Amino acid sequence: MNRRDLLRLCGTGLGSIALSDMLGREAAHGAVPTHFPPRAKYVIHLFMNGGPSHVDTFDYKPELQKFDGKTAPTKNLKTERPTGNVMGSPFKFQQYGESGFHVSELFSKTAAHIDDLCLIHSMRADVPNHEPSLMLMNTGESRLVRPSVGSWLTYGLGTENDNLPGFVTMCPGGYPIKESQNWQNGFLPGKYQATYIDSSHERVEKLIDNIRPTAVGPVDQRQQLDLLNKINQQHLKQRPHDPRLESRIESFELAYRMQSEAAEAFDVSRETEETLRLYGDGDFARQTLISRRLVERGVRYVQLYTGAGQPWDNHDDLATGHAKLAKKVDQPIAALLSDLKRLGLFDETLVIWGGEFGRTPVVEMPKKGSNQGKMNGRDHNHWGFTMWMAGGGTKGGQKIGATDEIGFQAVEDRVHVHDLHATILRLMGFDHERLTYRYAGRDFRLTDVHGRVVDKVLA
Amino acid sequence: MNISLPSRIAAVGFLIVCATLSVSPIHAVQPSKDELDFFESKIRPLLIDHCYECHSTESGESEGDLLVDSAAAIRRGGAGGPLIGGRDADKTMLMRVIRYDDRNLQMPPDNKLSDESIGLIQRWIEMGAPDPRQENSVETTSSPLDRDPATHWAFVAPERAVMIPDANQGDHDLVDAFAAARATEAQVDLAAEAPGETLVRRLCFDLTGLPPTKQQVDSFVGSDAPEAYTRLVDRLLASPAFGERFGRHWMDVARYADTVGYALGGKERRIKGSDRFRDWTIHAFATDMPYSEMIRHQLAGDRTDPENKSGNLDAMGFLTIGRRFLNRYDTWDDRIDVITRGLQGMTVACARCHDHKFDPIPASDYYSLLGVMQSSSEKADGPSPLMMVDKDPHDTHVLLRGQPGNRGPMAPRQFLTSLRKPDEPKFDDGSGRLQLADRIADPTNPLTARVMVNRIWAQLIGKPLVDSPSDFGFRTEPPAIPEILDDLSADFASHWSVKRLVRRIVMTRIYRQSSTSSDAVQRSDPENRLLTRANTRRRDFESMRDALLMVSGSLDRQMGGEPVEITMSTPVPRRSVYAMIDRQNLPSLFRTFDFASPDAHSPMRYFTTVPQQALYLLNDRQTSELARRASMAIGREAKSSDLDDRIRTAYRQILQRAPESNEIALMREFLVSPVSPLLATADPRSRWSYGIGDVNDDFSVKKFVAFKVFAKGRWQASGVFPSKDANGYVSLGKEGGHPGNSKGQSAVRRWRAPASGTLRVIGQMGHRGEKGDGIQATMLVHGRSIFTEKQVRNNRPFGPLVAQVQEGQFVDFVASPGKDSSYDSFFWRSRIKLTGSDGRVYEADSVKDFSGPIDTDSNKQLDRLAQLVQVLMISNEFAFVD
Repeated sequence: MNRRDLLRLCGTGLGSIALSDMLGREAAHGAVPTHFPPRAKYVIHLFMNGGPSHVDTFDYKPELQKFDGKTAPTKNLKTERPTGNVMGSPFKFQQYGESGFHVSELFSKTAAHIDDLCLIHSMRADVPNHEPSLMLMNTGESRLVRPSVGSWLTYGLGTENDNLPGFVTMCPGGYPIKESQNWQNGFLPGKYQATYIDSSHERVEKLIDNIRPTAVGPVDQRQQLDLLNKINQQHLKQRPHDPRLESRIESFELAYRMQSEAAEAFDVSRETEETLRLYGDGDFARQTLISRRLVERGVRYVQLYTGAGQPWDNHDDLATGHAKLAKKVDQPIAALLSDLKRLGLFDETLVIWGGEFGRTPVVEMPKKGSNQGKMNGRDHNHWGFTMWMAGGGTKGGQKIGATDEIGFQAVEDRVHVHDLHATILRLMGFDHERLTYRYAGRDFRLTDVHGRVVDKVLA
Repeated sequence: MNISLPSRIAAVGFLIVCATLSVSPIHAVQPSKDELDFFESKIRPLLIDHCYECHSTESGESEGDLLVDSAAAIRRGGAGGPLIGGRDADKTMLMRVIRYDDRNLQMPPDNKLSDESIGLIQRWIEMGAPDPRQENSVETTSSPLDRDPATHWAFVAPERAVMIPDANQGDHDLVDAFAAARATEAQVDLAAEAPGETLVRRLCFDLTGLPPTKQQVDSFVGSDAPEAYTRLVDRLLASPAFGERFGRHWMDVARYADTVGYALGGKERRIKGSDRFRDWTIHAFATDMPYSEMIRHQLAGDRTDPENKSGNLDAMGFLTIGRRFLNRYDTWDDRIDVITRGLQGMTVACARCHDHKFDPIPASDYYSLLGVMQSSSEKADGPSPLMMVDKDPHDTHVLLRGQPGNRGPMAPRQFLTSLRKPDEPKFDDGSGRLQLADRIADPTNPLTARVMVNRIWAQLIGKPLVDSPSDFGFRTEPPAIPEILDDLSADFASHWSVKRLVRRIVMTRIYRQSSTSSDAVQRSDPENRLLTRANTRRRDFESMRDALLMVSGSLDRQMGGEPVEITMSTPVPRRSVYAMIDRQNLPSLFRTFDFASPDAHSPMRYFTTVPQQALYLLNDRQTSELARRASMAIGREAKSSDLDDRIRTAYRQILQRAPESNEIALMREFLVSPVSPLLATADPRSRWSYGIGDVNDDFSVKKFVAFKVFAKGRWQASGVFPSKDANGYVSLGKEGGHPGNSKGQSAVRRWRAPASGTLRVIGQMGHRGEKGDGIQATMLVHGRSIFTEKQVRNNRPFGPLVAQVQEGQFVDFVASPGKDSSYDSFFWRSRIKLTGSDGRVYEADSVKDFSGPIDTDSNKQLDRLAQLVQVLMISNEFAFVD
C-alpha cells in the first residue's frame, strides 16, 4: 500500500481518523510521516482581517509620494468601488536590518525582525470583496463550502496534544465576517473545525465557556464520563457506519481534558512580568501570547484575527485607522517573534502575516453610505498585496515578487493564494497534490486543481 | 471539462503517447443549420456548465493546457492530445474521459455526466462535431442569458409521475415505487421498516421537535392496529407543537431575529413586534394555512389583510425582520435575497452588480425587484409594526456595477426573466408586491413548490433531494431520483397544504425505513442517495434544549409572546423557538450548537461536533439543574427506592425505552459508589464583598456590614433606595458607587487576598458630580492605609500602589462622604495583581469581577442519581434520532 492509497483509504469509511492516526501515530510528539521532512510543525496565522494596505506597511513605493494627488501612471484597475488619483502614504518609511528593506512606521517594532521575514510582495487573490477573499484565503475556494487550511493541516498531521484542540482560532470581541465559516471543516470530520475563542476575555472561565464543572466533583465527573462512554460504545456498535457518533464520543473526552490543560494554557498570568511587558497590553497582545503558549503545548494551527468584523477595512480615515490598528498589533507581533526565538520555537513555527487582500494605491472616491463622503482611504485590492512569513523553514530577509511602481498590481513572480497554500503545505511536509480526501466520489485537495510551491520561500 | 489529471504522472504519459498524433480538420464542410441548432441547444450548454470553469478563456483556466471554448481549441486538444480525432466516437479521448473509462482521467472530475448528456456528446461527435465557435473571439454567446431556461430541469414545471407497472410490493406511494425501482436497478437492498419505538421517537422529533411522552410510546408501541401509525401522525400534525417546529424551520428561511443588528449611537436595537411575525408563522403552520396564502401575506399583507383583522399583516415581518443596514440599498438587497433564495431558489442578489455569471438572471431582474422594494416603505404606526405599504410606486434604473449614481437603463417592475412569459404584463398595481407574490404563488411556477418540497423533505428525511436548497440554478444537478421531487411538487402545487405534504412524506415507506444498513449497502451508496434507509439525525439546538427541558419535567408549553432570554444561569422553561435572538451579539451557546445565522437567509443548518458542546452539557449550570430536576421527578415516580426501579424509570423518562439487563447492571454499579467532594472553585467573584463601613479618623474600617439587597445592578442598604435612614444613597455598583450620609456609612468594596505575597494595585478614580464637596477615597491593606485622597470633580489614574499582604487579609476600597453627602457619586475601578510568595499570580478587577449574590454551588451538587440522569441526557442516544 503506498501513501496515495493510504490517503485515499482515509476518505473511505475511515474518514474520522486523522492521517497521522492511520499511520500509527509514531510518537505522541512530532515524528508523523509526511511526504517530505517537515520544516515546520506549527502555524500561527496573524490574520489582518479587513485588508491592510500593503503600500502603507511593507511594500515601499517611493513613486507613490511622487504621484500623490495626481492621476496614476497606469489606468486604475477595477476594484470594489470607484477610485481616483494616487494617494501618497501618510506614513514614514525607513530601512531596517542587514537587508535594508523599507518598512513603514506602522510596523517599526516588527521591522526589527526584518532579516527573518520572507516578504511576498506579489500576492494575488480573485476578487475585491471581503467574503469571497476571506474564504479563498482560508479555504482555497471562495464560493463552496470547503475545509480551511487549519482543518487540512490538523487532518494531515494529527494532534501533538490530545488535551487541547489541534486548531484554535481567536478573535477579540466577536467574529470576523463570514464568522465560523473562516475555520470550517467543510467535508472533513467535525473535529477538524477550529475551536473558536473570544480573546477579549481574560479569565479562562470566560475565554472558554463551561470550562469548569460546578455541580459535580472531579472524581464523579470522570466516572460519569466512563459511564457515558460505555453506553455510547454500545449505541455505536449497532450503528457502525456513522462517523458522527464517534466524533461526538471523542468530543466529550477532549472536553474533559481541556478542563485542566486549557485552563493552564490560556492563563497568561503564569508568564513573567518581563514577558507580559514584551507583548504589551490589550486583547491582541494577550491572544498573541496565548498563541505562543498553545504552540508550545503542541497545538498545530493557531489563527488570530485583528478583531471582529473587518477592522483593517479603512475605506476612509486610513491614516488614523491604520495607525490605531498597528499600534495594537505591532508590538505583540514583534514580541511573538522574539519570544519564539528565545524559546527555540522559531524554527518549527511558521508565522504568517497578512490580510485577505491589500488596498489600492489610489484614493477611494467619496460615496455616501460607504465612506461618509470622505476622500482619505483606499479601496480593496486583490490585484497585488503583501504577505510575509517567518520561521518554520522559511528563508528570511528576502523579498519575493513585486508590484508595479505604485503598488497597484503584482507584476513580477505572481503568487496566487493557491500558491501560498501549496507552499504552506510544503513547509509542513506535504505535497499539496497528494494531501487528499475522498468525498462524494472525488479526491479533494486544498489547492483543488491549482497551486504551485514557491520554492524561493523555502530555506 | 477538467483535464487536470488526478495524477500528474498519468498526464505526462498521455502527453508522450498523444503528442505525435497529427490534427486533421474534422468538419470539412460547413455545418447545416440543424447541426448548429443541435450544438447550440444541447452541446454548448453542456460545455459551459461542466467544462468552462476549468477550460475556457473566460474563466482564465486552461487546466491540462486545454481549452474547450472554440472549435479550434477542441481540435487542438491539450496536454493529453486532441479531444476528437474523427467521427468514430468510441475512439475519441473525449468519450473516454467522460465515460470514466480510464481510472486516472475522469471528467468532469466531481460528477460524471448523465447518460443522456454522454449520449448527446456521442451524437455530436458522430455528426462531425459541428461547432461555430471562433477562437479568441469574446464569447458572445457564452452568457447564461443566451441559454433557453427551459433546457434546465428546474425551470420546467414539475409534473405528476405515472405509477410504474412493476412497483415494489406494498409501495402505495409513487415516490416509494420510484425509489425502490432505482435501488433495485443499482442492486442496493431496501431497509426494513423501523421498529415501533424508533418510529414514534422519529415522528415526534420531526413533527414536534420533542421526545414522545410515555403515553405516546405506550399507545403506539402497544398497539397492533394497522391504523395506529396514521392516528399518531394525525395527532402530531394537529398539535400546536407542529406549528412551533415548522415555524422554526421557516424562521431559518426568513433569517428571523429580534434585533435590527448594529445601531448607531446606542439606538434601540429591538425590532418592535418581531415576535408577532414569529407567532404568525407558528400559527400559519399550525392551522395549515395554504403555502400560497402564506406567500401572499408575507409579501403583501397590506393588501390581503390591511387592517390586520386576521393577524396576517404581521406576516410582512418576512420582509422587515432582516438586518437594518446603514446603507438602505443593503437593506433592500437583504429583502430581495430572502424573497428570491427563500421562495424561488434563485440567487438573484448575485445580479446586483452585473448579470448573473451562471444563471439566466440579468442585472435588470435585480433592479425590477429593487423597484418593487423602493416603491414600498415601512409604516411603524399602522396596525402592525412590521408592515410595509406602497409609497410612490416607480421603476428604477439598473445601477451599473451596483453603484448608486451609476445609472443604466430603466428596469421596469416585473417578474424574473427566466420565469416570465413572453407577453407578460409588467407590475402596475401599486408597488407590485402583490403581483410579485401572485407570480411566486402561481401553481404553474416551476420553482415555488419544488423549493418548498425540497426544504420539507430535508427536514423530515434528513437530507434534501436537491443539495443546494436555495439555489436551483443552471449549475444545480437534478435530484438522484427526479420523479420524487417532481411528483411531490406537482401534488403540492395543486393544494398548497403543508400538512398534506408532510403527511404524505411521513406515510411513505422511505420515511418509515430503519436507519440500519449492511456493509454492502454502505459501500454501494454511502450517501444514501437512493433512499434505501433512514438517515440518523442529530438533534438541532432547539430540539436538544427542548428535549432536555421536557424530560426533566420543566418544559413550559405556553405559546407566543415577547422573546425570552434563555442564556441565564438557571433554566428558562420556554421552548427555544421563543428565545430572544440578538442578531448583533448572538450568545455563543447558539453558535456552539450551529444555530442558523440570523444575518441572512439560511438554506440549511450545519452540524458540527466541537468540545464546547460537550462542555456545555457537562458543566453548564442549566444542564446540571435540569438533571437534578429530572432525578427528583424520577425519585418521585419510581415505585420504590429500589435501584433497579429507579434505573428503569430513568430510562423511560429520558430515553423513552426500557433498559437492557446489562445496562441496568452498569447503572447500578454507578449508583452505589459514593459521591465525591466538589473541587474548591476559585471563583474570583467570590473574593469580593460589598458593604457599609463605619470608619476611624484614618478611614480604616471599624465595622463592616455587608449589603443585604442587590437591585438594578447595585448593592444597597435596603429595598428602598435611597434609604430613609442615615444610609441614604450608600451603594456600590460595577464602576463605582455612592457613600451614605456620614463617615459611619462609607461605601466599602473589600477583597480578600487568596495568598500571601506582594500586591500591586492600579486603576482610575474620580468624582463627576457638578456639585457637592466630593468624597474621600482610601485604600487599606489589613487596616493600613496605602492611599487616601479627596476626589472632587476629577477623573484620574492611580498607582501602582505596592504593599505586602498575608493570605486572608482584606484590601479595602473605602469611599467616605465629606461634610456634604449629596452629589457624591463616584467612579472607582481597581485592578489588583498579587504575586504569591510561591510565584503564582492572582488577578482581580473590581469591574470584571463585580457581581450580585453568587450561588453557592455546594447546595447544587448533583447526587448520584442526578449524575446518572445527566449521563443519559448527554448520551448519543439522546442526541441522535434514528
